[in-house]
Amino acid sequence: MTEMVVAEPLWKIRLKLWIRSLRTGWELFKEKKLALFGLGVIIFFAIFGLLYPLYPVVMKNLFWKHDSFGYQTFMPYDPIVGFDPDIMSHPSPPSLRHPLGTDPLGRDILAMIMYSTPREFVLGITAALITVIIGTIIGASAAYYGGVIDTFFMRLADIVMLFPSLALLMVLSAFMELTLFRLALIMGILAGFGSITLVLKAQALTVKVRPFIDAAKSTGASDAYIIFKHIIPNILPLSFLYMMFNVTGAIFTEAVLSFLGLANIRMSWGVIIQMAESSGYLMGASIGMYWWLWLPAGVCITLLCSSFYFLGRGLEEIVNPRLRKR
Amino acid sequence: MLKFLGKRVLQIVVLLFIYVTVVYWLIEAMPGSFVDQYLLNPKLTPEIRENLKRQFGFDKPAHIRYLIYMKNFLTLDLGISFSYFPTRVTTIIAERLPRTVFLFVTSTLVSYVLGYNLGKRAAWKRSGLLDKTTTFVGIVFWTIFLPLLAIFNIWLFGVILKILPLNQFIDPNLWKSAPLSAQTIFIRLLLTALVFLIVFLIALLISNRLKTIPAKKTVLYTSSITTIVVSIVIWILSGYSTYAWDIIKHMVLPVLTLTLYSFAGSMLVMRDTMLDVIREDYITTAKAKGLPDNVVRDKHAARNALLPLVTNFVISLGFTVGGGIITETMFSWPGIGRAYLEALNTQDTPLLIGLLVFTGIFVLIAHLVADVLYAVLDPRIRY
Amino acid sequence: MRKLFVFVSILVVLSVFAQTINWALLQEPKTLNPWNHYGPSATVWSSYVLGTWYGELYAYSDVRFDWIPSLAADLPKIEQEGDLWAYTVPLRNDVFWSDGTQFTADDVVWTMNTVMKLIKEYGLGGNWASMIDPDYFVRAEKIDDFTVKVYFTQPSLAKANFGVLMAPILSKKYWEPKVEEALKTGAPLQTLYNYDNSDEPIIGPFKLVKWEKGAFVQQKARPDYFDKGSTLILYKNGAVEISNPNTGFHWVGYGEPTGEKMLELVTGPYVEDIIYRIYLNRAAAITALINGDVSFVFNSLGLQKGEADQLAKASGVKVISNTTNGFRYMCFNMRRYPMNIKEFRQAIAALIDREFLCSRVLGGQAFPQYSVVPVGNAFWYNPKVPELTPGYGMSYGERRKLAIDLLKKAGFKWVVEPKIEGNNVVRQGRGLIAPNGQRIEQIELLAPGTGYDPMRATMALYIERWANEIGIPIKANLVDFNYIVQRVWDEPFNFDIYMLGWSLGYYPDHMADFFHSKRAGVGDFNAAGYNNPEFDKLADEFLAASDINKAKELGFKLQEILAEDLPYIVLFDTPIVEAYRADQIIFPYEQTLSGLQYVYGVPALVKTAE
Repeated sequence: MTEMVVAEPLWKIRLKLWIRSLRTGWELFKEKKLALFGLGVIIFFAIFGLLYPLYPVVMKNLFWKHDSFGYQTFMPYDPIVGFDPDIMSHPSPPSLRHPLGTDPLGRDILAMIMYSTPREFVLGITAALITVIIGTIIGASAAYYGGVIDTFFMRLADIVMLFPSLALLMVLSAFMELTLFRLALIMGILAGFGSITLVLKAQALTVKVRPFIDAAKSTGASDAYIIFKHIIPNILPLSFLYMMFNVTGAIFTEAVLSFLGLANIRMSWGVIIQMAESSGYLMGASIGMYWWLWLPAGVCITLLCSSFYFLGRGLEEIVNPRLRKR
Repeated sequence: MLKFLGKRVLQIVVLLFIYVTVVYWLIEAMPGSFVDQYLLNPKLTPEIRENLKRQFGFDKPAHIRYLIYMKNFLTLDLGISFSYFPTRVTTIIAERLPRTVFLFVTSTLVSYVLGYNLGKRAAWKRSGLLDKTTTFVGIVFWTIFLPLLAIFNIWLFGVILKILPLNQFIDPNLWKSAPLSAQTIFIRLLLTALVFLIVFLIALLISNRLKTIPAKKTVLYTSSITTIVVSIVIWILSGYSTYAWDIIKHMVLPVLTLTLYSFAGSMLVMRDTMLDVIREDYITTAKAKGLPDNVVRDKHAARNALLPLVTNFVISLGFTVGGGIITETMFSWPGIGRAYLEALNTQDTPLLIGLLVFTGIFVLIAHLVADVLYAVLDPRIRY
Repeated sequence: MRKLFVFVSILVVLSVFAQTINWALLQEPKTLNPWNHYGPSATVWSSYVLGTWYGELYAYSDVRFDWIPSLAADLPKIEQEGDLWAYTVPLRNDVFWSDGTQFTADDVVWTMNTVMKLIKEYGLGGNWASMIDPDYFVRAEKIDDFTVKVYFTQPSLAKANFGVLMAPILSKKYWEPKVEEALKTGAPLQTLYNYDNSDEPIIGPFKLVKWEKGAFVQQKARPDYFDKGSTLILYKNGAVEISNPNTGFHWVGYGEPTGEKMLELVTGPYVEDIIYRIYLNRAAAITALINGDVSFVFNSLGLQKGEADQLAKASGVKVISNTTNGFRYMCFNMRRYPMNIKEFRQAIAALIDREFLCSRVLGGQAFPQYSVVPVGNAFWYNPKVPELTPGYGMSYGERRKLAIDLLKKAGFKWVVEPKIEGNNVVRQGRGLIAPNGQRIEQIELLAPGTGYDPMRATMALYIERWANEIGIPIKANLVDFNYIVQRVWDEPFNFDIYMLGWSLGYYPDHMADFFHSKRAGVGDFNAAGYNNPEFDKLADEFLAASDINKAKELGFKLQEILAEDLPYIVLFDTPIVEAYRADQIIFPYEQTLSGLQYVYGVPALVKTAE
């Protein structure tokens, strides 16, 4: 009972401290207009993607009532095979029936883009999360233990960094079907053992020499306790920052792999552009005439990727005091 | 210094062997094989296919093949390509390397020069209009989907404006009567660039010894301009200048695209280092002495912020070999990246391993150079 | 006078400048060495360049693909000599190599026997071994300078007429010392493959001048080409007439050369140079075509819809479309349950509405195929096959009902039976139970991903959806091409259903390759594991036939059996769409099976436009 009384204020204090640092962070963050813009765009895409299930329902009640062929194309609408037989020639330009037009296979582009959005998030964030978790743990333990563990992981990072990442993923695509989740997993792991460990180790080294580590050691805290309770929390801001940049990298890599036809992802922004390219609409005068085949998906990639980047840079200026304004 | 270098070289050699082993087994383990393509031809009976397999050395077990490969690797022999059977992998790399190196070194250089100049200005007037625009535009280009940018540029400059030649790296109509091959011209162009680089570095060393700023400038500018003029004259006198010019003309579009795409990287590095340097005391002192603003910026701040950029540049040169997959495909520039894509599509294992190994060597050498540069250029680091 | 001057100057300009034509390749040839090209490194890009370098004894005529003499002077005489069958071939005596030597029986005999020796003793593989099959070919003998006798173990259209007698003939004078030298080295075949043959004498109309690696290949017309000015006439009644007024050679075959002419061609070459420019992506090559940098694009996949649309609008460009000699199909693994049940296969065939998919979903970019012999191969194609296919011509509701009936007939049951009203599925089927009482959990359909072939990928997804509606648990797995190959041939036969495509020759002996039970072994081509003694017997007869009309009759029967048994469901194929600049070049004809690139762009017949 007494423990409870003691424990609660501590917990409250921690929360308060956390909220306060968050608030000062936010004050600093607010000044970074580009970062704010990035955050806004990310929130927009999150909502945009989450709204997808509503899209076919709304469209069906408004514009897709007519389905003369009886092929049940729109019931339930599947953006991967959702062919519209009512339009004579595909790709068709934007109309009420298809706000962003259709692709050469008669699929609704807006539906494809909305359907892909949550998947891009899942892909980017999963990959980045895995990278950061691996990188943080390895970086912290390498810095803390030093010696063999340090050497091993640093040499491992050297080898991983030798591989051109796109080239390596292209090889791996031959091994297995690179579904969205597997791709995220592989990208996450590869990046996790790569350069990020070097950066985070360097940061952890600066934490290691601080007095409270020695203090903790003298009280007999276990190694794992010190790593997880003292070192990792202190390098987490930097890890979080790298996560933002890795999201960009993951989304971009997926698009390139899909564009080269090497990933087995049924639908993504990269797949939409690849479809336009492989059916021959991405060249010459068609670029302007069939803009809806590549522009919306291309804009989405750039917008979302750059938003994470802007956000990351905004956070960097807060996390990294060197970059702060005096 | 020598001890450090020796240690580093030893480390690199060990690393290289581990890397080659990993690459070998990775590619070896890839499902399917080169001979699978013959399965598409029903006229080839299983016996014929077995015969072909024997020719490609598939009859030996994998670990024996690995030992043979490593033995050959020690003599710098990367084996025989399947899809270009029986051409040596080294021959294919030697054929394609000059094209890739010339294109990517040029574009990396251009993008770093641009990044350096924009970055230092952006940092100097922090949060100014220039800072905000360059950061925004730079990051937008940095995250633009590269194939789209390439396609768009080809369309704009080649089809609509018609000011740049489309695709390919030379114009066949000009070259069909050429007395020598494009390869020779590429190598000579690379040599010219190398000579220029050496002259420039020597001039840089000499000018560092000189006292006054005008003298420094004179040495640098005269030597650079003389080298450029002399090499142009030599090219014109050799009679091959039209061919060299043709190659350069065809290179403008890919270089432009790559520069747009990648200048943000170097710009942001430069900007961040500059911000760090600006806080140092000697900058404040220099400003307090009443030196003109841009002198402090260029001579004091930017010079000292250059180091991370230079090492970054060298390291990124290492990755040019692997980074060309998309660019080379989009611009019909048959280099190393394109060879990689083709080797992957045809499951040409030896070529695939060879290209990855070669890229690895290239990157490792670049790292070594970067280390040396760091040691030489940064007075704070002593080994 | 002035008019004359202008006229002469125009003529001069034309003869100097208009004589070079530019063609685009999408990949660089891997090799231009015949040993290598017809051996391990066969790519279509090499054949576009060197395809016309070497002569053959017999060749297919343009457009109609009649089997006609080329270096031979007449059709062969076939007779049995003891155990062997001898084909006596008279040779033309007006043929010269580009180094001035006359083409004689020595070249033919040397080429055939040397290739045979290299196959048997050194393992020369690839197309050499499939053209000159050591199981059939015995030896070639010289009777006199212009007569050869070729011995076979048994008569066979595929192995003799369409095999050995159509193999390329190399120059004995040039190659004999090189081959002998190569045989002394440790790796004779590699030495031959690597041999720099840029000075090799050839028979064809164009000779290599320059190969600028990575950029272009240039060929120059031979002024001394032996066949220049000769005429080929195809008559409507089937007769063929070849005559060369310069040398006096004349040949008539397949009937009386009277009545209406279907085609008349006078051999060139009419252009001075051909430059094959290498572009590494389709968009680049097509933009070059629009800009007029090249006048024809070799593209083995044909133009995509978007490309054809745009080219049709470009001025001076003409878009042409031809049928192809191939098909894309799905193959059942009949070693596995329930794919071995005929009604199950038929039910799936009934569900697949090829017409709807091809015309609507694939936007007219594909045409339905039903038989294992493509429609375009008109001589061998059995027109009765579509009607034999379950569901042909039915509405979608009828197809669904037919599929359900077929399954019921075979004893299949459902946990929830599907219900069809009109065209609609009122209740989806679930829990399919096989006749043996076993619940069918999942059937995997391996198909190439959208990157490799969006059409097959789309079709696989539709098939998955249609099958699922009536409770067949097919799961389309869109994977890498190599992965399918590995699962089917390397593992081996570790698949339920896969979807791939074949590209075929004119003589449809592939039916025996794909479906004869003796070809069902590991790594062989009968991946379905189809085993039908009746089919095997007919297929053996078909292969042994030496008479074309008898072979045709047997071929029709084979197609009918396959249409009912359905080890393959043949789905569709794409027409090959090509484009050329009609304001720069003139092709002698545009309609030909598999398009103009299949005949290498007929370099000896193409002219520059005025």
